[in-house]
Amino acid sequence: MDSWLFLLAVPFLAILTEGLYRKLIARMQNRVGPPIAQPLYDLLKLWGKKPLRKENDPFFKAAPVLYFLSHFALFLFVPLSIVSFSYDFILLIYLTILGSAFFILAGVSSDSPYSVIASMREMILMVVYEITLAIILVTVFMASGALSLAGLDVSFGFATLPLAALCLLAVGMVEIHVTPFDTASAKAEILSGVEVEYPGKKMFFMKSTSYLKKLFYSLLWPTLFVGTGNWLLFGLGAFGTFFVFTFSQATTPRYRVDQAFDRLLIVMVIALFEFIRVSWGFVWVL
Amino acid sequence: MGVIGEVLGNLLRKPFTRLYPFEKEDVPQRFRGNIKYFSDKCIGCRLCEKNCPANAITFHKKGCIDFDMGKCIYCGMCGDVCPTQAIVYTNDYERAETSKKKIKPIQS
Amino acid sequence: MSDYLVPFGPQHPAIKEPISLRLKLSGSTVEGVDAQLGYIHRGVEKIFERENINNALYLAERICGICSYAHASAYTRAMESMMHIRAPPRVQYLRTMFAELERLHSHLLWAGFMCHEIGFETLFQLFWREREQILDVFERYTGNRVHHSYNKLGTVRYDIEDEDYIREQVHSILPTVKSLRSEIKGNGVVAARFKKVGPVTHKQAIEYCLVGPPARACGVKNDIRKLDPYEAYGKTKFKQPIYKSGDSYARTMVRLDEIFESVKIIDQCLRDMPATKVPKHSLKALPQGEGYGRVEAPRGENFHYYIVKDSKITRAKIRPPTLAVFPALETMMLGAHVGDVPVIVASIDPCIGCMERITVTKGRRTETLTEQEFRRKYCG
Repeated sequence: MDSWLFLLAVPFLAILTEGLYRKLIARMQNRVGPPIAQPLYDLLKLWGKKPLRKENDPFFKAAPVLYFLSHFALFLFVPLSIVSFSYDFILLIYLTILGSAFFILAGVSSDSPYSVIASMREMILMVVYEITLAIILVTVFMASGALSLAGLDVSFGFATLPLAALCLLAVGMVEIHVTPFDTASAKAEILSGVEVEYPGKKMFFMKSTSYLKKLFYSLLWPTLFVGTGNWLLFGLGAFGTFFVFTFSQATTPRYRVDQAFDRLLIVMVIALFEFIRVSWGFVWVL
Repeated sequence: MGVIGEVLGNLLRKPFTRLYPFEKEDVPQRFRGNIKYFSDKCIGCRLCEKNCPANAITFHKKGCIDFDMGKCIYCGMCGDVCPTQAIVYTNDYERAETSKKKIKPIQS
Repeated sequence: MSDYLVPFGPQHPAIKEPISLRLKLSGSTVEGVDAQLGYIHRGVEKIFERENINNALYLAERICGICSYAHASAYTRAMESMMHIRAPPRVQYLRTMFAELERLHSHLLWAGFMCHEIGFETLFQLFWREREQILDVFERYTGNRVHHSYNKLGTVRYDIEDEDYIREQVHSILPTVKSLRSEIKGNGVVAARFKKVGPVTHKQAIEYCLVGPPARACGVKNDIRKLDPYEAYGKTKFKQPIYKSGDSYARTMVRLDEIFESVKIIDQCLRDMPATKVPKHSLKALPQGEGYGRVEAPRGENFHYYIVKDSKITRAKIRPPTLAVFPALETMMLGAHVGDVPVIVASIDPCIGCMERITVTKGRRTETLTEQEFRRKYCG
């Protein structure tokens, strides 16, 4: 029962994550930065706005909500296994792909050429990063021998699968759109891409999903590589992951889409190498 | 070092920016802010009206001049040419308004 | 064959001023560029006509919001050459120093902007933080941050009192700029985005008559401060940074190197400045004639030409640096990736507001008219 309560806490945690993210980036850039609760104010403001244009496209209307729901559903599995069954990590993979697909759909169904370009970029990158994510998840489960996220025993720790852990960080950067891989939501080039045409409540869903994503990928890394057994260590791992994302946003520029694709391909090859290594049984346990 | 050193240093440093409406900064002496007009010093020579590049000054009579602050470009020409220093620039820089009508002309 | 047209502008976050580039794309490669101007044409040359020469100085300054002092210097140089007056040495040094301070502020602004284009927000913020130190100097000595109104015909408005303050402020930016420059030089992602992007060859640079940093990035030595020394530039020693590759990376490095050269010039000015008094501004009686002035603005050569009759301007012609660099933009963009277009546009440091001249756009048709035709057709 307790674990269901966690779902209620998720929105607040997501807002806190985004608030901390903005504050931390501001301090890294020697600015005062917005208050921690600023994302909450943003969301409340967006919720109160009227739609700007007449929307007839059903995909345009539905995509943000579905995008939001598919990402909210991820918290059923990570970090607490609220629902658990055999091979639920396959469902996790499908949900992330579904989320990205709704993101692309949102871009394609809005008329702006910038959102279409953003969707195309996301589509190009998705080919690599979603497969990489699948490879990493399968590798982790193969190494631990578990069948579901609830039974995941990660006492072997980070040191056993160092390359997979690093690859997951890179994938996380693409997913939550931080530099150097935020090509699909480049502000200076394509006006933050997909979100450009969305007004009011739909923008609320787009924005809150981006906050949820930041929280999810900060929690996924420690779930897979630190384990939920020790809450202190888990918290440290989550904050460390979050800090890596923030630090990367602060210290790197953005790759062009073809360059990002090439770099992510290298990441995929590394993840594949780790997968082959584990499947052949070269696993050392500390 | 590069940007990583800068970023880590900035985490420990005091922020460079200010929370503007709450913390106001002093401006230097020479700053050309809002105009102040002393009608008793004015001798009615009309030099300010003639020299204003933006035609923001309307002269009615000696000691009675309208300054259209919506047109003013804060170049400081009127204060420079005034022989009796009847026009001076103050340090008041908060001159932005949300509407053109709210910009009040300065009168004597 | 081009596949589709992508509108780049007139409202776009990568360009801070309205300009419409229609990119013909084949896949993601730029096959052709159709630049449509006229969105912020202000008719500034027309406004100059019948202005008093003392008042038109403030208009000249407001042609541009960033290199305002360069326009004011070009105007002053044109008018002083017309009236055959020469400013006293201290005034010359003061003008040189403020022109260099403006180069610092403009280049820092641009460097931040360039980093913003490739998503490097931290460098953007840090460069702009350092720029504030220079703006503080301006605010303290000229009374305003951007539109300084510092020049007067034959003299300057104020003298400076404490030279140490300027020296201190200018040198305080150097450590950060040095470390950020090394970051741009060493960062792999920056290299991937800047190197071999928008290249111009040495030959093309000469053919297009490029000016300023874009030309110096191709190895063309065309610094007006060296070729035609004005104010106190003849008495100061400095280098003009030259790079050979002609791409966005070279243009970035030229500008970053110029920051250090400018600091050297400011130091020399503060050291060599004679301790005389700055004369008061006096209005000359009805000068007439024609005069031109050219200065090295932060973006390149800035040219002003005026015909004056009875102390009123009757004709003005202004050729800001962007007007000279702009035609080369198409050459830079052909064959580039569409994601590089913002970087290429930013790398020439465009100032569209300076550049817009008589071009009337009606629908999709663009026509270029002479003055008489324009008057007949559009001024009733």
